[in-house]
Parts: sequence; structure tokens; C-alpha cells
Amino acid sequence: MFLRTRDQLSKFRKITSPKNQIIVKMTNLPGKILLAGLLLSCQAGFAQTITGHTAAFENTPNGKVVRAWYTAWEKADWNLLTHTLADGFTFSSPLDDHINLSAVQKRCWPNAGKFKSIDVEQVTMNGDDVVVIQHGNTTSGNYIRNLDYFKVKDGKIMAYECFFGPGINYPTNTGK
Amino acid sequence: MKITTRILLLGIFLSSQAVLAQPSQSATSQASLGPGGTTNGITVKAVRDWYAAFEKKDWNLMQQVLADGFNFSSPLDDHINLASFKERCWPNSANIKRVDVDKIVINGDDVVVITNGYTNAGKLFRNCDCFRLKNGKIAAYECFFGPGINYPNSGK
Repeated sequence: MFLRTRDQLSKFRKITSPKNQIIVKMTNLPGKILLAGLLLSCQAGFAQTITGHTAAFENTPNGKVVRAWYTAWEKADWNLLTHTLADGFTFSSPLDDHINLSAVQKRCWPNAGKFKSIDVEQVTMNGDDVVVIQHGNTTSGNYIRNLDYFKVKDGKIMAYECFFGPGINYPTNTGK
Repeated sequence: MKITTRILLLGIFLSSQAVLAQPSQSATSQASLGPGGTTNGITVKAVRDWYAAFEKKDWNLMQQVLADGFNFSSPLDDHINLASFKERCWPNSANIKRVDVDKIVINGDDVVVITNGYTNAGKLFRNCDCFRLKNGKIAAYECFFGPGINYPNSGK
């Protein structure tokens, strides 16, 4: 795999962020705490249809639970993460085939807290399907750009699948 | 797949928007037909023809669904243009036996498709394809890699 220079990455991000998209930076701590509060107090998720790239993303139950997912990974907050998940949750990626929660904790959770930032670039929502293109940097400065597919059920994440884009894919990837 | 079956399938593709818009029986694809999805079938048709072009190795059909200024991205391609797409990516079509659509999520001009593709040798490539449509044609495409060999000619 190739690695991009900073200039190349800057160009890539610029091109992939047209004016009509909203870049949602998740770096505001009070906002995150409020988000977590909303998540924990509002379990009444319902299906919704969103128009626009990220329009109303933050104001929907499914959007909130997905935002909380990213917050949990950024802050390495296992308790918050588990509150976003439905019973029987499965995690998939090119390296993980529908693994369960305990396997996630063992295999994937070591990546938590190693994200400097996670920027939600594009959200495509339809009912209980939420697709997020996100990019960011690890605490060691490596670039990650992935696509995440969430299947939500009753306001909680039933299934997650990650598809890899350019970059190192995940923070603890020592193969890149 | 037998040639007769493939021709029949192509006929179904070209004659029935309903079939095109329902690639599977999942709630996902059915939901994509709702008020938030594309209901006029035009944008869906462009995406379905994208896959049909790869399966049929039909460059003429492919060109018809692409908007002016089309660009192609993947973990290996950073917004390459049509000429580069033809040179670098189109040769993969020769090694594609079938592409099955697993899920479609539509939001305005954004169409996200998760597919399970199979090479002539039966190898799996499961990817997520993001299409940005403009006036019913594909203005931009970005591929994200799932499990499998990523793309037919990857050498894996």
C-alpha cells in the first residue's frame, strides 16, 4: 500500500469535501458530554429518512447513537460504547467477520484512544441504515480514511462493518 | 452463469426499474425505495448500469452513465479521470464473473452500495461503493475495501 504525503492528503481532503457537505468535527468535549447524556436518556430510537449529505444528522436518534460510537472510540470510553450497542451486536471489517462484543474488546478496543480526531465527512442515512465516511489522524500522526456501515435497531447499533480506504486503516496497524 | 441467463438478466435490467431497485429482499434495499430514496429510478439505473457494464465488459454502456468530469477513487486511486480509469481499472472487468448487490442506501444524489463480487476463479471481493450522482449520471465514485481480494486483478 502507498502512503500519502501531507500535501497529497490535504488535496485529497479538499476535493472530497465539497461546499455542500458539512464537516462535523468531534473535538468539543462539552458537546460530547451532552451527546452522551442525550444518548443515555433517550433510548426511543426510530427510523428516519434524512435528505442532504449530513443534514439533521445530529438531531436524529440514529445520528446520536452513531456520534456516541465515535466519541467512545475517541475517548476510550468502554461504558459509553456498550451503551450504544444492541444485544447480539456484531463487528465486521476486512479483518473481523461478525465478531461479538467480547472479541471486539479484546481485538479492536486497544485502538481506542489512539485517535487524535475523527471527522465525519459524509453521512448517508436511510431508515436504520447509517453510512459514514470519516477520516482523521492517529495520535502518532498517521492518516485514516474509512467507511463505516451501521445497522441500527431500536436506537442501538446492531451491526457495524468497516470498509478500508486509503491510509493505515486503524491505529494499531503495524503492517503499514 | 450461462450466456442465456446473462442475456435474460440484462433484459430484466433494461426493462424493469422495479427489479433494478430491489437487488435483494433486505429491509435496506426496500427502505431505499421510500420517500428519502430515489424513487424515479433514473439515478438507481445509472448505478445498476455501472455494475452491468463491468459484468458485460461493455465500455460503451459505462461511458453512458458517467457525467462529464467523472473521477474515480479507491485506496489505490486518488480522483483519477476517465482516461486513467479506463487504463487502470477497466481491465478488471475481464476478470469479473458476477457482482451481487448486498445493500443499497440512498440519500438524494448519494448512493452507497455494498457488493459481493466474484472473479472468474470464484474469488470474493466485498466492497462498499459510493456514488455521487449529478443529473442522473455518475459524477464521482469512491471504493472502500472490505474482506476478500479487493478487486479482481489485485493478484491476491
